Amino acid sequence: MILTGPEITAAARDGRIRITPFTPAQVNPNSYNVRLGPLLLVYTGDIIDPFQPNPTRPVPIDEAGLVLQPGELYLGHTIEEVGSDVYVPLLFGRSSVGRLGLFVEITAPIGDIGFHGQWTLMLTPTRPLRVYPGMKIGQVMFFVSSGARDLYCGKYQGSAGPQPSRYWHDIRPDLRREAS
Amino acid sequence: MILTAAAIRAAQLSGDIVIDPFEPGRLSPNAYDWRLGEQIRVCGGILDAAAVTRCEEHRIPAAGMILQPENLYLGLTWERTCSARYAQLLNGNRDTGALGIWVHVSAPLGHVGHAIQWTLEIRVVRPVRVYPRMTFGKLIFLQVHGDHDTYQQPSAKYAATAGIGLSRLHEELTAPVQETSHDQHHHAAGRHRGRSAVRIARRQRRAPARPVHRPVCAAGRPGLHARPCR
Repeated sequence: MILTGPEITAAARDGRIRITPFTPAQVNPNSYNVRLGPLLLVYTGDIIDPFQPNPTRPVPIDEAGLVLQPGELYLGHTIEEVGSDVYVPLLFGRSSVGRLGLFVEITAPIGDIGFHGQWTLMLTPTRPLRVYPGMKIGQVMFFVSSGARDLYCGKYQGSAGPQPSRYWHDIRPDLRREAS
Repeated sequence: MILTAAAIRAAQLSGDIVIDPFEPGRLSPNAYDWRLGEQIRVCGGILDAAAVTRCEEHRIPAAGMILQPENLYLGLTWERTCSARYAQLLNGNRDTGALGIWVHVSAPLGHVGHAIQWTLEIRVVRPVRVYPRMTFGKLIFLQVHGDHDTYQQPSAKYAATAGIGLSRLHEELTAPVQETSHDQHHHAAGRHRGRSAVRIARRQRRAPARPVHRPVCAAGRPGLHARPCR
C-alpha cells in the first residue's frame, strides 16, 4: 500500500515521516516532490572501482544553471532530508524530468526504513540538459511495511550533500582489490 | 505492503520465500542484498528485436572485469529466488547506483511464482570494474492483493530460464497470428531481412480459470540445496 498525499502530510506532522524542510505545496497525490541541491560530484578517475575509494571533484550549480552532458555521471543530492522509521521510501524522478531524458537515480529507488538524511541522486542525461538549483527533480513515495522493523544504521545514515559510492567500505582491507 | 527483514526471514523459514543460497547477514531493513553471479554476456553492435541476440559469454575474473558504457551486458544474480506468495522487485542499491551501474533496464518486477536466477541487463555510465559475487542490489518482497495467479504456466517465456536469459521478444514478432484483428498487425518495410512483414503475435489472453501450478523450486543450480516452495 502506498500513502496518499494527505496521509504524507499527516505523517510529516506527527513524526511517522521526517521531511526537512517540509512544504505542503510539494505534496502530490501519492508522493512528495524533492528539490535538487546546489552541489554535484563527478568521478575524476578513468575507471570507477567499487573495491577502492574513487576520487571526485565538486561541481557547483549556480543560479544560471549547469549543462549536464551525456556520458557523465553526476552525483547530486536532495535539499530535503527525507526518511521514516515506519514506511519504506522509494525515490523516482518526476515525469517532467523524465521527459527531458534525465535519469535521476540508477536502479536504486528503494530506501531503508530508518534512513534519515539527504538522498544522493545519480544524474545521467540522455542529451545535454541544463539543470537549476532548487528545481523539483524527484518524488518520494512511501509504502506500508509488513513485519517487525529493524531500523537502518548503515554507512549513509545522516548523509549531507552528494555521497560517492562507499562500496569499498564493506570490503575487508586485504580484499579490497580482489573478489570475496 | 513491503516485507521487513524480519518478515522476509520468517517467510524464508516457512518456505514462502526461497533464496538460494541464503545468508541471514544479507538481510537489510526491508530487503535482501543479492549478489552478481560469475558469468556475464557482452552484447555489442546493433540489436534487433526480431532476431536472436548475439553475444559473447565470459566468466568474470576474480580480479574484476571493466564494463564499458557502449555495451549492454547480460548478467545473472548469484541467488535463485522464488515465491508463490509474494511479488518481488529487484533493484540496485546506493552503492551500485553511485558507481553508475544500472542492474536492469526498467523491468524490476518478478511475478508471483517466478523461480529463477534473475537475468540482469547491465549498463554503465562510465567504465567501471565489477567483481564476481559482489553485492549488487536489493530484492524486496511485496504482498499481493486479489486472487493469486502464477508465472508457472506453459506460455510464460522465462518461467524456466537456466543461466542468462536472452530476449525472446523475437518469438512474439515472428509467431503465427492465431486470431487477428486489424490493430494487431504491424508491417515493417524491408528492415527485416528476408521477411516482407513481421507480424505481432496476438498477446496471450489470460484464461479466467487456469489451474494454479505450484512453482517447482527444486530445479536449481547443481549442488545447491533446493527447498520446496509452498
